[in-house]
This record gives sequence, C-alpha cells and structure tokens, in this order.
Amino acid sequence: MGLELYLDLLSQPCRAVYIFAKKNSIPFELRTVDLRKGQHLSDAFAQISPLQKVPVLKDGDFTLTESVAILLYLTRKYKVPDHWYPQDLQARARVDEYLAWQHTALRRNCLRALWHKVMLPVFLGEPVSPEMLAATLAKLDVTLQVLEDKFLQDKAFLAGPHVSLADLVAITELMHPVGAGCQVFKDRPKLAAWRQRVEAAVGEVLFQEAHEVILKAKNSQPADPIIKQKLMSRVLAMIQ
Amino acid sequence: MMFPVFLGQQVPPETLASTLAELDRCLQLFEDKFLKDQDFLAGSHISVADLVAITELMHPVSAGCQIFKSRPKLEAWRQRVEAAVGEGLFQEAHAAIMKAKDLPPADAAMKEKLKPFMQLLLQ
Repeated sequence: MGLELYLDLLSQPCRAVYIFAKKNSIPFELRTVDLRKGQHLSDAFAQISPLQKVPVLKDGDFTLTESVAILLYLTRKYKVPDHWYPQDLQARARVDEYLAWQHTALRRNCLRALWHKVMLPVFLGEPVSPEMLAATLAKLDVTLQVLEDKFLQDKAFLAGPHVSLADLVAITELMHPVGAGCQVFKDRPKLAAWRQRVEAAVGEVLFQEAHEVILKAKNSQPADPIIKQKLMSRVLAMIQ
Repeated sequence: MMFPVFLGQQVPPETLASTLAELDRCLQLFEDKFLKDQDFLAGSHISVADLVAITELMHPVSAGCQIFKSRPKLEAWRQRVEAAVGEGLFQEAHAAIMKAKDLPPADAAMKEKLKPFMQLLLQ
C-alpha cells in the first residue's frame, strides 16, 4: 500500500496538504473522511488516528498527524522544488516562523469566522449572537492586518520572492472566511494581489478543485440530531 | 495563579476547574499519543520535542499544579529529560518561573497595558 492521505477538503489544513501533494505530483490514495457525517469519530478511523482529526498521512506502517508535519514530511521525502521550503537558512526560518505563528492566530480566527458565521447556525442549528459574530470578525481583521504588516510587507510572497509552504497554508486558511461569505480581500489590495500570485503559482484549476467544498459550506445540510450531539462538544472545544 | 497574584483579578472557581480539567485531558493525550512507552517523545533520545514539552509543563508546576503526582510515566520522563539537559542548567532556566508565585502585584499602569492580553487568555 502506497501513500494514503485521510482528508476532508472542508478542513483548512487538509486543503493545504491536498494542493501540495497534487501540485508536486506526489502519488497518493485519497481517503475521504466526511467530518459533517462524523466519520472522524468512527471506531475505524480511531484505529488510523486516536486523535480523531484530519489530515492524517499513512505511508505504509508510518502514520503521521499535524498538517505542518505532514507537509514537511512530503517536502523531504519527495524532493520538491526548493522554493516550497528553501535550503537557505534564513529563508527557511521565515517559512518556519509563519508556520508556527499561524496555528493560534490566522487559523484560529479563520476557523471561528466560518463557524460563527455559517457552520454553527446552518449546519448545527445553533444561532450565534450578532455581538459574538462581530467580535470574531473584528479579531479576524486584526489578524489580517498582522499578516499584511508583519509577514507579507512589501514582498511578493510571505517568506520572500517565491511561493512557499507558508503561502499555501495561509491561502487555504483565508478561504475559510471567504467560504463563509466574508470579503477578506475587499479593501485589502495588497492581500488581494498576493492571493492572485499564490493562485497563479498553484494553478487555477487545482486551486478551484481544492476549494469546491468550502465554497459550498453555506449550503451544508443541517446535521441530524444524533450527529449534532456527537459533534457539538468537539466543535465547541475546537473553536475556543 | 498569575491572574489572582500578579493582576489582582480573581478567577471564578468554575473557570479554574475547567482549565485544570482541560490540562489533565491534554496530559493524558500527551502520555498516550506522544510519549507512549518510549524514553523520549520522538524515540530513544532527547530531542527538541522534549525540550519544548518540559518547559511548557514547568508553567503549571510553578503555579502549584502537581501534574507529575499520580502520573509515574510522565514523572520518569521528566527525570530523564532533566538529566539529559543537566540539573544546573535546568534549575537556572526555571529560576524565574518557579518564583512567579512571589511576584509583587502589578501596578495600575501595568494592569491597564496588560488588559487586552488578559481578555484573550480568559476566553
């Protein structure tokens, strides 16, 4: 059995892994884990990963979780073009810096934006107060400013003149609030220009394909009561 | 600990309890998924992972949480890591955090500056 990737393209980190593998022609078996059906909570999936999250990589007997670790494993194993994770000491450090910062910053705020604006009310039937939503979107706005001012600055890409893992992780994060209907690029011409560069570097077709699911998130079927009960506490913990 | 002692702001018992419960859950995950029956987190030798983990765990230790009590596996790992780092260096690195309980309360100006950070932490 070759490389297997357990993914749901609803999930931000799954999209980054998917795009990276496809873009670099890394052969893999796609194992879809439907989060909205609670498939990640099944006994079968717990055998794959006791943490019950996606993405998961299985390379023969070797199982790996954490999207950043997965991306780096693929980078090292398949010897992808240097720009994804440059050999140059300081250029690489810039990518590492972004990958570390994003977990509790951009990822967290993008996740909360999607869940507060769309997924909680539409999928789980739980209304979110306008004040809560406004506070979440305000925090997202602050994070976007940090992304522009501290990371992007006047460069073409986040870690330098070429697209890297940092840009891939960032763009897939930003598609979460975009999927929720937030106009994150409006009034942010610098970020909009960067987005276009990243999409062009990834390839329009692959980018669209990877984002088909999230762009339809607004149309999620409401979860049935049993699924909702299974998912609720994990969702609340996830978006804290 | 820091909120009541340093910032003079009480934390409701329910909040503290749920925080400690969450920590407990994480410690279990840490033991079961990462440490397992290995000597160190990533295998048979100390790595950057152990260093990051042990320095994290010293935070609740300094607050008086007895996280290693009744967790013999974790305690054994802790001793291996401290030995690998070296007692002298480990103590030196943790001198400041171990005295956190004795911090004089922050003055009003400092409290004001720290307010947004406090709100973030209490979420």
